[in-house]
Amino acid sequence: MKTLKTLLTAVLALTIALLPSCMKYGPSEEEEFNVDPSGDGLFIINEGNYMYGNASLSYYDPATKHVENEVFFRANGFKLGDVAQSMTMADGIGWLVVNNSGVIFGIDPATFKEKRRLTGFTSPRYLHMLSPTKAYVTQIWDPRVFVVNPVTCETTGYVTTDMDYESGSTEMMVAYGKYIITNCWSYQNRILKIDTSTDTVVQSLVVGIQPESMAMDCNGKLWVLTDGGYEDSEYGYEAARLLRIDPDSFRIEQTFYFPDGAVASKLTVNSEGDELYWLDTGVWKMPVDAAHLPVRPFISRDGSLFYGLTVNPVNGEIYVSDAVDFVQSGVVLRYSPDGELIDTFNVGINPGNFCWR
Amino acid sequence: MKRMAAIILLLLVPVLVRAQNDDWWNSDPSYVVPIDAAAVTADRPMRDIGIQETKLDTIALRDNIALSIADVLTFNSSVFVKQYGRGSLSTIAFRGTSASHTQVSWNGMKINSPMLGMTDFSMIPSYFIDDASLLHGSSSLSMSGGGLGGAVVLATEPADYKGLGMQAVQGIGSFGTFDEFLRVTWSNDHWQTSTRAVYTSSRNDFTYRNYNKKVDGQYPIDTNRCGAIKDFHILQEVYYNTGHGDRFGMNAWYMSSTRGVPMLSVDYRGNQSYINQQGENTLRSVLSWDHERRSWKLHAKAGYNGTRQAYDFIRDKGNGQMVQMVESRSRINTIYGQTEAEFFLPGNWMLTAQLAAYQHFVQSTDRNATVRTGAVIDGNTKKVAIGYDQARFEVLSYVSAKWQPGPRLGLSASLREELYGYSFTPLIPAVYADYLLSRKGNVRLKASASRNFRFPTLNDLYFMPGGNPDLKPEKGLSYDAGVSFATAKTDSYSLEGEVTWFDSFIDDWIVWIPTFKGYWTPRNVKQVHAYGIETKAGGFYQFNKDWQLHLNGSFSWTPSINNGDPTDWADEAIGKQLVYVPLLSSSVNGSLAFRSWKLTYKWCYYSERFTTSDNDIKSKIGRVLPYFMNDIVLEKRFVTAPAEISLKLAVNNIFNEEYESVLNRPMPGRNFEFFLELRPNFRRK
Amino acid sequence: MRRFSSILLAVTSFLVVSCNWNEIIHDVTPMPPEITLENGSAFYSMMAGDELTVSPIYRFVEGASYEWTCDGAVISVEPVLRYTDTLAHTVFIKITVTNEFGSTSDEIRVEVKPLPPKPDPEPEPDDDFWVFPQTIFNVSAGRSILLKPYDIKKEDGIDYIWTVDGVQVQASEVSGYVFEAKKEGSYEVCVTHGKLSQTLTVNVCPAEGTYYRPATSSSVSEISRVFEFTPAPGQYVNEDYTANTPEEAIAYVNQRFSEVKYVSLGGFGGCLVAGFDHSVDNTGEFEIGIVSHLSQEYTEAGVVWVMQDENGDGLPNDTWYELKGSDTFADSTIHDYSVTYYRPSSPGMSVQWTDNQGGSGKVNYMTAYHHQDYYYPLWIAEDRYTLRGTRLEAHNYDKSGKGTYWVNPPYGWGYVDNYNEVDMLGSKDTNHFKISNAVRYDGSPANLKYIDFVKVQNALNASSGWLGEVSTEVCGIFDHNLKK
Repeated sequence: MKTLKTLLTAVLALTIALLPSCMKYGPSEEEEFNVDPSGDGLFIINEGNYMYGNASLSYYDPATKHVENEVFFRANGFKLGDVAQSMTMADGIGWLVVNNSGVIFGIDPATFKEKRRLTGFTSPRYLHMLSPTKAYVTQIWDPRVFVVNPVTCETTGYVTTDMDYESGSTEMMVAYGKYIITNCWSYQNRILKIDTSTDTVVQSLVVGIQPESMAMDCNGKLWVLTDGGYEDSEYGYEAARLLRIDPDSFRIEQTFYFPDGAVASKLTVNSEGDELYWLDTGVWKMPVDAAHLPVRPFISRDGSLFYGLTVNPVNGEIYVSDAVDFVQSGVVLRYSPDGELIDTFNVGINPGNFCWR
Repeated sequence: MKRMAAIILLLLVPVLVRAQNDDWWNSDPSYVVPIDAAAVTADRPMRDIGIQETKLDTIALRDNIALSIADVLTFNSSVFVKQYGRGSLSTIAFRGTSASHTQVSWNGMKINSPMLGMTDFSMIPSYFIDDASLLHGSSSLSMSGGGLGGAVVLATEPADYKGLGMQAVQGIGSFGTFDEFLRVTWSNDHWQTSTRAVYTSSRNDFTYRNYNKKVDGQYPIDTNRCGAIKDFHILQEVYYNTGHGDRFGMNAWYMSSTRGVPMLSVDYRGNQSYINQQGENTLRSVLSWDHERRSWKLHAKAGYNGTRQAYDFIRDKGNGQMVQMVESRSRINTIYGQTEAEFFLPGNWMLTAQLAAYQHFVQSTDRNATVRTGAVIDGNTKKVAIGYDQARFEVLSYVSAKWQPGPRLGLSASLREELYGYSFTPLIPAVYADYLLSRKGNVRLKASASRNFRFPTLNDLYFMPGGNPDLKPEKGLSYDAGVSFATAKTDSYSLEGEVTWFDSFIDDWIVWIPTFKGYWTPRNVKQVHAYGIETKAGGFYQFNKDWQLHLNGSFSWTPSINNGDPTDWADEAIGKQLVYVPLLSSSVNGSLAFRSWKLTYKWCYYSERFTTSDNDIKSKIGRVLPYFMNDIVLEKRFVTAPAEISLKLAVNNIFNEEYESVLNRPMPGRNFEFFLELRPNFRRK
Repeated sequence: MRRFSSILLAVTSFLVVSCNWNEIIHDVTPMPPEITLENGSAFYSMMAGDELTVSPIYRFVEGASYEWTCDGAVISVEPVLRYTDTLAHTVFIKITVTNEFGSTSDEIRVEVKPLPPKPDPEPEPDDDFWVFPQTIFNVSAGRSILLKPYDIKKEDGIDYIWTVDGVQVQASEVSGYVFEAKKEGSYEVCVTHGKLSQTLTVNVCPAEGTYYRPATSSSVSEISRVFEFTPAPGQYVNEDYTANTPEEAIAYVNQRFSEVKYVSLGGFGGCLVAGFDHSVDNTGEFEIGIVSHLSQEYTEAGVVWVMQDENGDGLPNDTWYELKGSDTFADSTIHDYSVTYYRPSSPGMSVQWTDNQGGSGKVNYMTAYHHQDYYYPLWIAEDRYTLRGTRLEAHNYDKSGKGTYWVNPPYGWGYVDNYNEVDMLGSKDTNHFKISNAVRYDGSPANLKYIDFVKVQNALNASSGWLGEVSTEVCGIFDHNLKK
C-alpha cells in the first residue's frame, strides 16, 4: 500500500511541477498602441493556417526598423480569425479581409483598434473602396462581387457575372476611371471590367489559365500574371504568362510566355510604375518596356521560400516574405532598390500580403 | 472465483479457456469486487513475451454508454487523444507520433481508413467493445506493420450468461443529448447470440464564453454551431462452440452516423447560412473459425468492410437559396481474409505464422469542378467530379518464434513482410525479451527492438489535386525497455505498475505542405526522434467487506523532436517538439465503492500542444494551453426480484474549465448526463 | 539710262547675294546596335546533342562585331549562333553587338533537355514492300480507274499479275492496272507479285448523274459537313484545342469555320475532306471558293481534289480527281508522294518523318511560340501514320540571309492559300477553282459534270526557320455558283 501511495504521489507531483501554471485560456488585456502617423508604415497580413484560426497582423516601421506582431489581437483583445487574405487602406481605415472567418474588420491604422465590422460574406478575398459609402468585395467560389456600404455595414447589392458557384471567383481589383478590373483566378481564365456606375460587367477578356495577380504601370497599362494552373488539373495546365493589356480597349497588347515549370505569382510594380516585380522562387524584375522576360532573378536566396512581395511606394525598397515551412513564424526581408539586404524581421505565420499605411 | 477473477482471466488467458460462471445477473448489488492474488501475479502467457501492452478493463469500457473509445482512452491511458470538439473527430497517437501511425483492428480486421490512414475513435462506442488493448511501439508488429506509434486492438466477446439476458439503458443529458442502449443475449452450451444497439442524438449546442471574439466590447457567450449528432449502431454476434475446441463466430456491425462539423470559434458566418456535415454508413463483418488442439491452434477469419462517407458543404447565396459548394463522396469496400497458426513445440517453443490479405476498392470524389473542354477556349462547358478510383491489394505476412529457455527468461523474434499494391516493404524484423527478476513482486524486465515501415495512404498517393505517387514509405526504428511489477493479497489489495523507456527514429515522415498553386501536396520531409517514458500503475485496496478503492494512473513524457535538416535558412523548427504532440500527458482514474454505491473520479492532463513547428510561446493567438479535465460519476444499484436497476449521474468537466483541445475549437463546460439501467431477471422462475 | 543702271545694279547685287544649292543631307545619327530576339522570348530549349540556332534581328549593325559568350568564354562571333551541347543543364548565353557608336547586349537562357532513350528500331515487315491505302473502290460505269500498289521499295524485275474475278487480265513489270468500269456490279481484283498478293474490290456503280443532287432554293453555299480532318503534325496542331477522337477533331473544324477562323493542316499531306448539301455543277467557270490566309510573299499552297458521290451513299468513298494547277505537270512536282510521321516519345519533342523518296526530317518543336505538349495530332491512335498526295516544289528561302525574313513566292494559279491574280477574282482571302480542271490518273481531263466532295491537301513539305513548317490554312469552303 505504501508503494502505491508513493508512486501515485510521485506521478501527481511530477505532473503538477511541470505545469506552466501562469497561463490560462481566458480574457486578454487590450494594449494601447499609437504609431507615429508621419512616415511610412507597413502592415504584414499573416494568413495563418487554414482551419487553425491563427491569422495575425504585424506592423513594421521602416524608419526605426521596429516590428510589432499580433497587433490586432493585442490592441483588441480578440483574434483576427482564420486565413487573413488582404488589407486595403482607404479614408484612414485599414480594411482587413479575413477569408475563412467571413468577416472584414476596419481598423484604425495608428491604434489598430477595430472601428468597423462587415459580415454577411462566405469567403471574402479583397475589398476595394469606391466612395465613403460604397465598396466592392470579391469572394472565392462565388460568381458575384458584393456591393457593400461600409458606413452602415450592409450589403446593398451584387455585381453578377456569368460564372457559377462551384468555380466562380473574383480576386484583386484595379481601378481604371469609372471601371474596376478584377481577375478571376481559381479555375478561371478571364479578367472582367465592371462599370461602377451601373454595377455591371461590361467586358471580359480571356487571358490564360488562372490570372493570379494584376498591376497598373506608369503608362496606364494593365499587367496580368497568369499562373497557368497546375499539372493534371481538370481545368488544364499551361505555362504561366505575363500580359500587357490596354484597359481602355480591353485587348491584349503583348504576351510573354514563361518557360515550362515556372511558378510565377504576386505581380507588383515599383514606386515609379516603370518596373514590374514578381516572385518565381526568387524576386524578378522587368522594365515595362522590356522586349522579353528576364532570364535571371533579380534577388535570389538559396534556402528561402518566398511567399509575399511588395515594393515601398515611396522609395522603391523591396519587401519579400519567407513562409519558412508554413507552420512557423515567417520572416520578411527588406531590400534596397538595388537588391541590397537592409533588414530582416520575424512576423506571423504565412505572411502572404502587405499593405502600406 | 467471482467477477474480478473472471475479468482478469478473460484478459490474460486465451479466449476459449474461460471461467464459465460470470453471471449476467447478480443477486448481490455490491460494487465491491473480489481480489484474487493468484490471477494478478500469474505467469504471463508465452505469446506476450516482451510485449508492451495496456489492457482496458471492462470497468473502464462499461463506465458510461455515452462514451466512445476515444473518451475511454483519454482517462485510462497515456496516449494522446486529439479531440476536435464534443462528438467530433477524435484521433489517437502513441509515443509522440501522429494519428496515422496508430494501427487499429476490430475482431482481427484492420479498420484504418485506406484513404486517410487514421481512425476516428469517436465513431466507436465503448459499449460495443468487450476487449481493448493498446500495443505500444514494436509490440504492434504482432498485429500489423505500419504502427510506428502502436496499435489499438479491439474485439467483441461472446456473452457468458446462460439463457436469456437483457440490458436496457436510457441516458438523458445536457445539450439535448439522448442515449439509448439495448442488449439482448441468449446462450446455451453451444450457441451464443448477442444483439446490441446504440442510438445517440445530441443537439450539441453547448454555450461557451468565446474569448476569440468580441461583440460590443465584450466576450460573447457563443453557442457551438453546426455540431448536431445522430449516430446509430447495431452489432449482431452469433457464436457456435462445439465444445471440442472449435468455435465459429459471426460479427456484424452496422453504423449510420450524421454529424455536423462544428464551426471555429473565430467564424463570423451565421449558422443559418451554411450546412457543414458529414455522414457515414459502415458495415463491418467478420466470420471466424477457431480451432484449438493441445499443441497447435488455427484461426481463420474472413471479413468485409464497406464504408460510404459523405461530406457536404452547402451555403446560402445570400437570398435564402442554398448552393452546394462541396460534395465529397467516398466509397470504400474491403475484403479481408486471414489465417493464423500457432504451434507449441517441445522445449518451450512457440511458433506463429500469420497471413492476411486485404483487397481495397476505393472511390473518392471531391467538389465538382468546371473544366474546359475541346476547342472552346473561353467560358466553361462541363462539370466533373474530381477524384480517384483505386484498387489496392495488401498482403501482410508474419512469422514469429518464441522460446522460454528457463522459467524466468522469454525470448522472441519475428519477421514481417508486407505488400502494398505492387510494392513490397523491406523485411521488418523485431526481437523481444522478457526476464523475471524476482518472483516476489513479480518483477519483470522487458525489452524490444524493431524496424517498421508505413506505406503512404491512397490520399497521399492519389488525392486530386496534390497526391504524390512518388512517396516513399515512412521508416521507423524503435527500441524500448521497461520494468513491471505486480503484487496482490487475496481480498486485501492488488498493485501493478510498469515503467517503460522508449526511443524511436522515424525517417521520411510524410507531411502535407502547401504549394503556390493553391493546393497541398505530401512529401517525405521529416526526420523525427521520438523518445520518452511511459508509466502506468493501478490497483485495488479493500478496506473491509463493504469498502473498496480502485486507482489507475498513467503518465507519459514524450519528446518528439524534429531532427531533420532545416528546410529554409530561417527554419527554427529543428530540435523542436512536433506540432500537436503534448510533451506530457497523464490520467488518473479512481473509484470508491461502498456496497451498492460507487463514486468514480476521472482526471486527465495534457501539457501545451504547440501549433507551430518552432514552438513559438511568444504568440498569444497560436497556443493550445495545458488543461486538466475532471469528471465524476455516481452510481447506485438496486436488486429487486424482477430486475436489477442502476442509476448513474455523470458530471463532466466538474470545475467548468474553459479550454481548447485543438486551436479555436470550442469545448463544453460543465455538463450532466443521467442514466437509468434495467436488467430484467428472466431466471426468476 | 540711270534707271537702267539702277536696275542692273539691283539685279547684279541680287544675283551676287543669292545662292542655289542642290545637296542631300546625309548626317549619320550615332545609333548603337539594337537586338531583338527572334520571338520575343529569351527562353530557349533543345535536346542534348541537337543544334540550336539563335538568330536575333539586329538593327544599326553596319560594320558591327558580334560576340556570344557563355560563362565569360566567347563561343561565337557570328550574327547567328549555332549552339550545340551534349550535357543536360541550363546555360546562360550573352550576345554583345558593338558598332562604332557603342555596344548593346542581351542574355538568353537555354534549357538543354536530356535525350530520351532511343526507341528500339522496328523491324520492317515484308509487306512494307508495297502499300494499298485503299482496297475498296467505287466507280461509275463508263469510267476507268488506275489500281496500283504504292511506295514500292525497289524494282525487282518480277511481273505483277492482275486478275479480275479469277481471270488474268495483265502480267507485266508495270505495277498498275487500269480497270475499265463497264457493267454494274462488284468485281474481285487480285494482284500478285512473287510471294505477295492483294485482293481489291471494285464496285461499278450506276453511270454519272444517277445520284446527282441539284441545288435548290434551300441549298447552302458553304460546305454542309466535314468528313475528315487529318492534319500532319504542326505547330498549330493541338494548340488551344484538345481532340481525342476524329469526331472531336471534326467538331473543332466546325467550330472554327463557324467563326471564320483558320484550321491548320500542319505539314505535308495534312488534309480536310468536306461535302456540300447539293452537287456543285461544272459550269466551266470558277465554281468552288476556298478561304484562307493569303500573303503576297508567303504561299502555303494546298492542292484541291474533288469527288463525285458515285455510289450515292453520301460518303466520300469514291474516286478523287485532282484539280490541276499551274505546276501540276511541272517536272519538280511529285505525284503519289507520301510522308510517314512518328509520334514523339515525350512532350516538347520535334516530330520525325520519313518519305517515300528516301528523305527524312522533322517538324520542329517551336519552344518560343507553341507550348502544347505534342504537335502530333492527339486523335491519331497509331504511333505513326502516312499521308500521301501531290507535292509541289517549295520555293521558300531566307531573304534576310540571317534567318530573320523568310519568303515563299506563290505559284501561278490553282492552289489554296496561294496569292495570285488568276484565281482570287479580286477577293482578298479566297482562291477559286474550276471543276473542269479535274484530271484523271494520267493527266487527261476527267470531264465531271458535277462534284459532291472536296479535299484540300497541303502540297508542301518545307520548313522556314523560325516560322516553322509550311502549312496550308483553311477558313472555309463554298460553292461559288450559289454566291454569284
